[in-house]
Amino acid sequence: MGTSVQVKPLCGVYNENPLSYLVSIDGFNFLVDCGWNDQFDTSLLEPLSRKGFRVASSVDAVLLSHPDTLHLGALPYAMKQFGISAPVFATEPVYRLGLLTMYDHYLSRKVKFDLGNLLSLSAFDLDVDSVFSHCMQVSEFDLFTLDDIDSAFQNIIRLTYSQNYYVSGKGEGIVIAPLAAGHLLGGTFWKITKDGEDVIYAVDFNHRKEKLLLNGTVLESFVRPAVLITDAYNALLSNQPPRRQKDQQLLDAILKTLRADGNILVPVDTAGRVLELLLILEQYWEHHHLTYPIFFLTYVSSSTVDYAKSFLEWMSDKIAKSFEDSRDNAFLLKHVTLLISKSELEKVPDGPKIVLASMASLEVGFSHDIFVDWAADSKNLVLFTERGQFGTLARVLQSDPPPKAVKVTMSKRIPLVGEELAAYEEEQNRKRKEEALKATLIKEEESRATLGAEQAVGDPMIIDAKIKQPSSNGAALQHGAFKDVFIDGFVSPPSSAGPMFPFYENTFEWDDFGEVINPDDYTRNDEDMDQASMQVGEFNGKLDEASASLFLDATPSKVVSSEQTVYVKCSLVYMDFEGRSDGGSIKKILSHVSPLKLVLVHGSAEATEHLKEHCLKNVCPYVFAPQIEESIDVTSDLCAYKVQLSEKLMSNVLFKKLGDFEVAWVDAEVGKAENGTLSLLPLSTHPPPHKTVLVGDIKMADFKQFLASQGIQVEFAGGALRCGEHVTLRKVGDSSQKGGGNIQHIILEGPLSEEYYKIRDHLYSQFYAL
Amino acid sequence: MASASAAAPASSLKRANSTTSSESDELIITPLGAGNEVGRSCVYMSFKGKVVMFDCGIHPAFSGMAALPYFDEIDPSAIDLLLVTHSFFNFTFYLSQLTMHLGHMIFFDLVYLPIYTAPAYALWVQLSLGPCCFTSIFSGKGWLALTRACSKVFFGTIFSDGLSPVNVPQTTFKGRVFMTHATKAIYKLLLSDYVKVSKVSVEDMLYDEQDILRSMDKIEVIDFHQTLEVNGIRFWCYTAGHVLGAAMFMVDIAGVRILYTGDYSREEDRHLRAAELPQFSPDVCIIESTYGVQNHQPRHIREKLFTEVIHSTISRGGRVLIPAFALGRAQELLLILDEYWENHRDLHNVPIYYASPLAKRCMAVYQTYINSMNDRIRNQFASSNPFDFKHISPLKSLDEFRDVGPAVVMASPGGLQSGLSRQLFDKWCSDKRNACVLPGYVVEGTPAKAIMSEPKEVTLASGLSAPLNMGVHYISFSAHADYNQTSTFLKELMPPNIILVHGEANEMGRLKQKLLSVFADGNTKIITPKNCQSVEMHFNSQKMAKTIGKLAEKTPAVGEILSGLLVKKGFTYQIMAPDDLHVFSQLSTGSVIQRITIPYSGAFAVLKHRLNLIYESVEASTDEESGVLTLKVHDKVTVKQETENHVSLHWTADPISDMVSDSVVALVLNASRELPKLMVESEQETTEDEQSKKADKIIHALLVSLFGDVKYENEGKLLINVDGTTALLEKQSGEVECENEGLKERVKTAYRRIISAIKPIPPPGS
Repeated sequence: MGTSVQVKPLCGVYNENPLSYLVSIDGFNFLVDCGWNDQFDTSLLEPLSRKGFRVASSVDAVLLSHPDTLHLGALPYAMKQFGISAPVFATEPVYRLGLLTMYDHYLSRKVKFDLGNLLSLSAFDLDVDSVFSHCMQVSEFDLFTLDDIDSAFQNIIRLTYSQNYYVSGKGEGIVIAPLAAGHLLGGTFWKITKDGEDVIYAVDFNHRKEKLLLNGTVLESFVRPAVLITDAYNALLSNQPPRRQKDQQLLDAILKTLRADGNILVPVDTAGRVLELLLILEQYWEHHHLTYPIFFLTYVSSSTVDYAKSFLEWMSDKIAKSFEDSRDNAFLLKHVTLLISKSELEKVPDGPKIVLASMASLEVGFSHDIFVDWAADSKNLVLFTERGQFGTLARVLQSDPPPKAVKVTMSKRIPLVGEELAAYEEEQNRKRKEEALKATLIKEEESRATLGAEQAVGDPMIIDAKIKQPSSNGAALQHGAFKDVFIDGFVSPPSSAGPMFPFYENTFEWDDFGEVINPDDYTRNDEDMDQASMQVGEFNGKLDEASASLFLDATPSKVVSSEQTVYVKCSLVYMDFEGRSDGGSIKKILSHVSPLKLVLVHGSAEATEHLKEHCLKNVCPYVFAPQIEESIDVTSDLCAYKVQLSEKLMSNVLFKKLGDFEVAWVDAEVGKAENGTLSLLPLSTHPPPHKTVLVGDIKMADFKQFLASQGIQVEFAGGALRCGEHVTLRKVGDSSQKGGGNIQHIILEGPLSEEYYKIRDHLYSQFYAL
Repeated sequence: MASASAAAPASSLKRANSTTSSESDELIITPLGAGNEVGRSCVYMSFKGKVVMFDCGIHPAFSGMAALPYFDEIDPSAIDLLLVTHSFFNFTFYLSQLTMHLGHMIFFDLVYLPIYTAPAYALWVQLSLGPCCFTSIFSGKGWLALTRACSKVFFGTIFSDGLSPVNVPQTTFKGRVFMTHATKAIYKLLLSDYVKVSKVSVEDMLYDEQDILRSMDKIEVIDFHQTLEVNGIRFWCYTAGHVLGAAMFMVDIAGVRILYTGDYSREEDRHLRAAELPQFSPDVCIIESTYGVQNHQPRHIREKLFTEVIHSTISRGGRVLIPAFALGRAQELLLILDEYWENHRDLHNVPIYYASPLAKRCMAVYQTYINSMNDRIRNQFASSNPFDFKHISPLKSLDEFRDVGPAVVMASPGGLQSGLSRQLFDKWCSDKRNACVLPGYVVEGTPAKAIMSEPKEVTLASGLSAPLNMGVHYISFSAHADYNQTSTFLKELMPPNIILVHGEANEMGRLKQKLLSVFADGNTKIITPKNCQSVEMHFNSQKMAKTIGKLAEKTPAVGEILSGLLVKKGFTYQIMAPDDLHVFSQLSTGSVIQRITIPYSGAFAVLKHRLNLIYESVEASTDEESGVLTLKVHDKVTVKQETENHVSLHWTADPISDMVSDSVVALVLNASRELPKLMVESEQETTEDEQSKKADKIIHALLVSLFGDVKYENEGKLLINVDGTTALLEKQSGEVECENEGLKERVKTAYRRIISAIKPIPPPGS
């Protein structure tokens, strides 16, 4: 029997939730993708974390396909909370850009003060109102920390496209290979091979060659895999307009707004499709000598572009060629200004501008803040380039008709003052002492968030970001970016092995009246403040470091949330720049690839059902669309054994060449070779007769042309090809088996005539008879 | 192809070539260059009808045609694949001619070039001679010979069949060319730089930017570890160290793996990764042997020496001149310096310059292909691009340079022949506080070589002589594997066959001896072929086929018969049932159903009767749908009485059915035309004897037409004589006795086919 293959979706089937599936091949469990949504809804991860099934601990390897939240967002959380310790595989760009995406997510939720604003306050005063006004969207976020992200990512095994990785140990015999999927930079579809049978996991692929960034997917060159797992996300999307037209629409919409003196907000992902958008804008600005400023605003924008510069190998031929020709890296952006804080944007003089800001969902991040600021002005435009995730603000705004007003939660982090500050200081002092004590006792401290998760909004929150400079060999963490950043006065415990966030347990003593306090602690400590301001001064010189702002967590603060209603007066436009194949193309590709078994995942229930029906009819008889946590068995019922071909047999075999293949008919006697394997020997007796096999693929249209070129009058009539006077040729295809290759039945009818035999000869010439 | 120098080994190779079209089990490896010599790396390999060429360089020490690898020994049109390991000029230079078609042939002579007025040109010479410098070290060839070598580069298209001056349409090279991304980028730079130089130097453009672009289009890129397949040849590459983008190629043809290291280094340096150890042991390892049995000093010692010399010179107020090539080691040295400066605050006011326009251009490549470098660089990249030097700035010309106090200048060329490095040398040589550090290979006959012996006086470029007071230090930073690295590498790989190339003959011989003592068990063959000397190895690769699908539902026992389609793709074989063909391959099977109507107005029973006379199996029945009478002849052809006046024949096309149907058609026509009745041989009592005699005659005649000399022997045997070899055919059983296996099989097959041709059609279903 063939290789046993099971697929069990953990998330993202019959809906557009993030993707996460368990594919088990002969007992070796691959977790393919480990996605999360922008709200980081922990309930989505339930199937993965469910104790009884021991899903997480049974994972033997993790494969990541795209560098965005939907495909890898949950990785840090899952690795930490569920104890997944399996090796993770990804391409270099997926690793890097994925890391940046996660950083951006974290920082969008976590960063305390807008760095630029803080620095702009010449004298560090604690005027609450002024600081308040500069504060940013934050939330109490404690699902994972930067360290969790780092530790999840640092051990990713990076592969290049079509690199065959031979799994050792438990999965001996399995070969995995990432292949270009398009969509995002480094985007991958995975081919898992065992014993010559391919299981292909291909989601969010794009067959089109993009204008700039990426070549299309090479999925089409892998035909007849044993199992194909693909998504139905775009199954209902009708054919897209030609790319050129789409680009023009986009640019027209942008220019219209800019010329009308409006601002444009483009909510984008951190490091995915935004790269293509940047290139499109850059090129257009270049060609048309536009001067409207373009801003790319994420917490990691400059790192993103820096890395993009070093990923030329992964980009389209066009970009590689232009680099070879001119040595101009496509990501040396002349018209785009990279920003890492909103205050930098605010400093920009008023006037029409275009801002690409993360996150695409508008749930958090700069795009959220800017949206709130700009929504009320009817001159402005919010341009969505991708479908918002389900249940996010972006999705709400994309609905038709767009809502008049939306409610948003504004969370602000404000520094502590007065009593709260004093409480915080006291807490700190006490903990510092405790910690000194602990440090001597505990050698290895688990790195964890400094935040007490259970505390209500308004409680004093502490973030102590301490990053040790990475050891010079750089082996430890990928933290290089932050090595120049001086953090705060705390000394990291001597026992901590690597750079990590210290963990302080927030234990409070309670008595009948509540928390025990020490009144002395409620006096202001001016000295500390001065110190803090000095440190801030230190940063000035290092502002060019993209991520410096990450660690500006020196002053104690808390988060205050308020709900606010935003009236949406600005125009909202949605254009599809997702870079995914549309429904028609997906169907075409599927019937070309024509897998033996097909598994459909990720897509609304409607789309999944639609595609399933279509595929059952046109692609293959085995189409599965499993429900969540439903384990389906797609083991191929394929039998196989190996035989040795003896020299004697082979010397008598006459191959006929058909494209890449060479085919021959063999009749052989089974024997045993010296090493015990079966071998095929030539027959000593007469070969048994066999039914002649006609090999070849005949296309009626081509054959018509061929006949015409042979001087025979041909025309199509009523689904049949009428050749000459009386002879008709009809193709009776096996309609359930389209594409790839199939058994064709051709019926040749006619009266006895010379013509009949002539046409028959022509028809035979299209086949190889074996 | 006109071959002027058909030497003895050449003819043997020619013969080898002629057999490459067939799938032989002989693996033939022939160095066309770099066999027992350094330079013009080029190794030709053929196995199972596939031809791969590794590298394509020129020899620095010879001129004209002689500098090229021995291309006239091979047929370029047969090459499937050209794999280029790295982009030193040596290795890619010739590629431009391989891949582009030049209008005419020109001899390019450097003698006419005003070299010393063009610093950039000198730089080019320096570059192009990068690897040649080894030659001078090991073979003692002088600088003059080297310049001559470069100068007389033959720019004809030797791959054109004729030497028609204008009309050379295209080289016959049709294969595909692969190199890594970085190599391709550097290749382009080097060639364009060359074009720029020749623009100012000669009127005859050898090739222009357009030609380079065309050749660039031809070159395909491969990423490290990426597995590609061309014509059934699978190949991938590993990091090789040596220079940015350098690769070792592993080629897999029909399961036989060949590793070609090119120039490699197993030592990780500041930016390059060490050469990887391949995951699989190759069957053949073609390895460089430049350094033979020599060993390098450990890297940290060399680096320490280097920085100490510079630091001490600067502390005493001196200037440091580092003459170096533009590419490769220069970047490494700059990294060392930048880091050293970073760690020494007291040096921050001392400027470092690199004065080489090409190096500056190469920097863009270095800044981009970070991912081809080691983890150290990649981790640094997370914070800032390490090739954005903090303490080093480029220098366009000496005019920009304010020579006021201590400074470090890295300038090309490395040999101090001319250009910036020479100008600075002349300026600084007489001050004893200054120092000159020679970091690389010093070419024989250059001023740099001269000052190594620290003479009292030197001659300046102006012709005057001046005292040499500055310190001269030679610290070599080589990125070739030394003996330790080579032997460890081979010990871990344990390839059964080792072929040494790219090494001077004596050095190679010593390495061979030493390696033989390492692999004393005798299972390892070490071969050092000369140029054009073929190494032939026999790999009796067993062909394995996988039986799949319906055919494999049960594993057959010994003695059973297996029949099916054998499908070959690349070097993999599959056996399957015809019905499964479309499932496991992209091929389709088809069937043609034929339906022919014939006018016949006679009685259907007549037809039946007649058919019965001819065919053994004629079944009569009525069609279930239409209720008409049908006859199934030979289980293949159905004859239907469609109307009163017509019968129709239905059958599925295959040779036997077609034949049956033809005879049925003839019969029907005969019957309907009421022509003289088809005379049925009414049981013509032909005796068994007569029949077999008749058959004998036919067999004999057919065998004669096939083999020529066929005689009757006794007891129904036939003696077949082919070119002195005889085979005895037993007619009854089909057994053949023959000493020659090949002939035996042929006779057997022929006899089997003859028998099946003359015997009656076997009844269906048997």
